[in-house]
Amino acid sequence: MNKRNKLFGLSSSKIEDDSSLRDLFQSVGYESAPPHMEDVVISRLQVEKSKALTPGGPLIPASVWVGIGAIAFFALLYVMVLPERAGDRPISDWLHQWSFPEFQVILPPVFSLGADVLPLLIFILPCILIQFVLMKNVYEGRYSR
Amino acid sequence: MEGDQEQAWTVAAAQGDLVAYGHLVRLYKDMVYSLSLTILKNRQDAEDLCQDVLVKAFRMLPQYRHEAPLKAWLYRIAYHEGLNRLKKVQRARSTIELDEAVYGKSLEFNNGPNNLEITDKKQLLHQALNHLTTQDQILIQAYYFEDLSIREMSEMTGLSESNVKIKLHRSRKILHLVLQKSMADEQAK
Repeated sequence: MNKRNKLFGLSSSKIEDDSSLRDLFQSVGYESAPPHMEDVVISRLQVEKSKALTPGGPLIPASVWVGIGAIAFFALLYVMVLPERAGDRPISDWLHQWSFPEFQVILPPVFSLGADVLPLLIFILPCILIQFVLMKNVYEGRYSR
Repeated sequence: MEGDQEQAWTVAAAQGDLVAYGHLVRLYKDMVYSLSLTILKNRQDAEDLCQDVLVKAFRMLPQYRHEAPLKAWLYRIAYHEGLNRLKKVQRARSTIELDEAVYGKSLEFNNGPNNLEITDKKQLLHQALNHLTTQDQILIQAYYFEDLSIREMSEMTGLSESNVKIKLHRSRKILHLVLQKSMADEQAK
């Protein structure tokens, strides 16, 4: 029996035996991971954990949200309630007091908003505001996990 | 007793205990690294993958339901992460074959008295395994080395149990042939 066969402790005929193949795998053992593997993994997890425990301040503070909400609410109230009471168009009257530079944009009919501007705005406004929440989550890396 | 200890570490680690997880990492890092090396066939890539798998496993531990042994659960994560990484690595560069240098280097980590014998066996086994596809290599190692059941391997790979059996049978046949030929060659020398 030559050296290699002695290493296996079996002859070439015995290798047909399934258990000998298992023994061979078991005797070879694992490839050893680098010695620093455990430290690297644990320190990576520690960094992750400390990040999770100390989240950064919100991108948009609560006071700004309250301000946005208040402005939106009063703007809507003004548009919806006052014109009916006064029987005129207070916003456009008020706007005409100021001399804004005039420019004309000619849009094709497909862009015409028609009479549904207000419901459309009410629908679009939350959609726009929700973008801030999504931006905040992206900024804080919540979608990267 | 050992199983109880492992279970206790697993429960504690799932609640965020890094010390307990450190024990689990010590237990399974070699297994994950070996599988990573089998898939990626490059030490640096295998090391990166091994780290990522162990970090991901910690995050996923709260979802571990103790239905399968932790070893099989970890093996499954490593398998899927490994295949995903392999696709990326293959895109980035051509795969480097495991070579003599890889096995020479393993001597650095195996300081036991039978180093040469083990390296010799590793080389022979590696030569034989090289005749199999990467998936067949993983399956045969999972079966003979990790003692995973056919069912666990089927769940891990998404193959049917009969398909796993066929693949194992075919791989075993190839390994027998290659090993027998190697021995015959040695005897002829």
